Amino acid sequence: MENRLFRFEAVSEEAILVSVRDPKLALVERNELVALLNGVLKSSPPKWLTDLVPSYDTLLIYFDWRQVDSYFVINKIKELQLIASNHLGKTHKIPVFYGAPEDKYPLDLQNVADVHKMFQQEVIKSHQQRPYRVFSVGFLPNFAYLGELMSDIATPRLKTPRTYVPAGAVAIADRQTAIYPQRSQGGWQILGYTPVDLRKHEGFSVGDHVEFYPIDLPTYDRMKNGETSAAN
Amino acid sequence: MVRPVLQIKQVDFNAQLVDQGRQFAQHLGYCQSGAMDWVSFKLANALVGNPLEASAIEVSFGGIIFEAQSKMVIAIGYASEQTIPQVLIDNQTHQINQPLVVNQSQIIKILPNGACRFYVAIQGSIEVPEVHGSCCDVAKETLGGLHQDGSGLKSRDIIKLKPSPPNKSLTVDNCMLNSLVAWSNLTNKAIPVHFCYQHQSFSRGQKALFLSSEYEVSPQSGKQGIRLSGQNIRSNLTNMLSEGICNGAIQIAGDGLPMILLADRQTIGGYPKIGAVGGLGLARLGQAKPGDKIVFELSDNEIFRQQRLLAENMLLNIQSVNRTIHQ
Repeated sequence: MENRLFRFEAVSEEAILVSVRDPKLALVERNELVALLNGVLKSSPPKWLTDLVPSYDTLLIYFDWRQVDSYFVINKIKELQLIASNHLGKTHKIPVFYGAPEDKYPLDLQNVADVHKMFQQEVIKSHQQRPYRVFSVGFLPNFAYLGELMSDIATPRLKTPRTYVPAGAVAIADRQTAIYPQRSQGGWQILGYTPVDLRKHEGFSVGDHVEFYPIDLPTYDRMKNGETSAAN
Repeated sequence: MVRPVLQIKQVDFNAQLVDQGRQFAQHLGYCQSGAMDWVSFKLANALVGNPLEASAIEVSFGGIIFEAQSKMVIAIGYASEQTIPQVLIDNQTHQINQPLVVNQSQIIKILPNGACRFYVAIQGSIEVPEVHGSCCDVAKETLGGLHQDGSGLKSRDIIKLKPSPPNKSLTVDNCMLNSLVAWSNLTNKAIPVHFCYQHQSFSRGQKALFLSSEYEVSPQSGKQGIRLSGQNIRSNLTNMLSEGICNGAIQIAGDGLPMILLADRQTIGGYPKIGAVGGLGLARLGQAKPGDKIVFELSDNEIFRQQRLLAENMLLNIQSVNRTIHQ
């Protein structure tokens, strides 16, 4: 089933996948359409809607199979009036200590610099140079896929993923960057750490933006400890 | 008043609280979670007259021993016809899939006898903190459950019930019960799949190979998904953008082996998917143990939905016997 912007597919008895697959559109434009449809459904959720999973150029829509089937949902989505708004989403400012704040914390800053024959400072400068768009949220609670990096520091994932990535790690993979909200496994290249506890931070939504700014180690420690005492 | 009803004495491998799963939280990155064998889970609740998706205990890959702290009504839900778990109350054998009255300080011991998963429902409403509307333990997120860290139930844990009206009738419509169990086991021969997602990136020959091969459930399987070993399958996609993964989606990773993503799957992923398992097939996969053999057969979303609606109808009938008599 096709219409002008979206392709619809029933993937299970409780979910349809809506794809923006117009090859003429840039990835950001396709993601803007995903965010638009996601926003419309989230702001006035139909009673059969049970969940939404927006990603780069797709939106997975979960529905209550007791009430409706996929044909009903696809027709309802086609009827929606998608009016572009000027709402740009929120901007999250995230402090980063570019380095390892603790001895045992893994770091790939030098590795990334070596790959691109750059100094560490150049890698850091490139990483914080522009605001990044939240293309998707997933993998772990409040794990936001941010993009796109300047191509000068785009770096593939580690060949073997780490079994231990500490919470707060700020890392890159290809032209994406992200913050690990909790301790996890992971194969992304780590540039630094944020003292912000993302499990308490406001949630990221597709279409939001994230700006990274550098802090030194004493500031990192102060913010990290400040957060801990505030939580207790 | 909150009433303690049960104290865990021993968990062989894993026991955790489950319900229908998180509500509207996948867009925040939380996995869906929920019971693996949804038929057995809902059956346990129906038998004690609870709402079908009330919190219950999911016991996996082993047995459990617990002690009653006060009089209570429980049911052990297990809708499969194979490898029936054994229920002992103070060493007396009792039946699965029946409401059982247990008195204070009686010891309940359930031996799996080869069963992969069974469910213990307690009449009433369990007092437990919730994450996005769900009591489920999710180990990989270190969230949820009685300890609020996804770690599951442990020896000495105490389950408490919220205040509730007095006990209901214990009548069971055994015809309806037997009919549900027999019918839900009809899918035992093959796991039904619906081709979707990137199925067009698999050639006709590769799809035929997938449908005609016998797979074995690998030991690296759990609530996130079931890994299979056997015939590998090739997609002609070299890379793709990550997208939302539905319950039952079958992804084919770089090694060409299928992995069926289930309750605790990650919300999005970037491997090609050949299709998805649905309906009764999902409940059947909740009973798949390492070493079990699996074959797939082509089915359809409409059939999956019909199976769910029919099962729900039968389960509500079983539940309503308990509901109506005392009203």
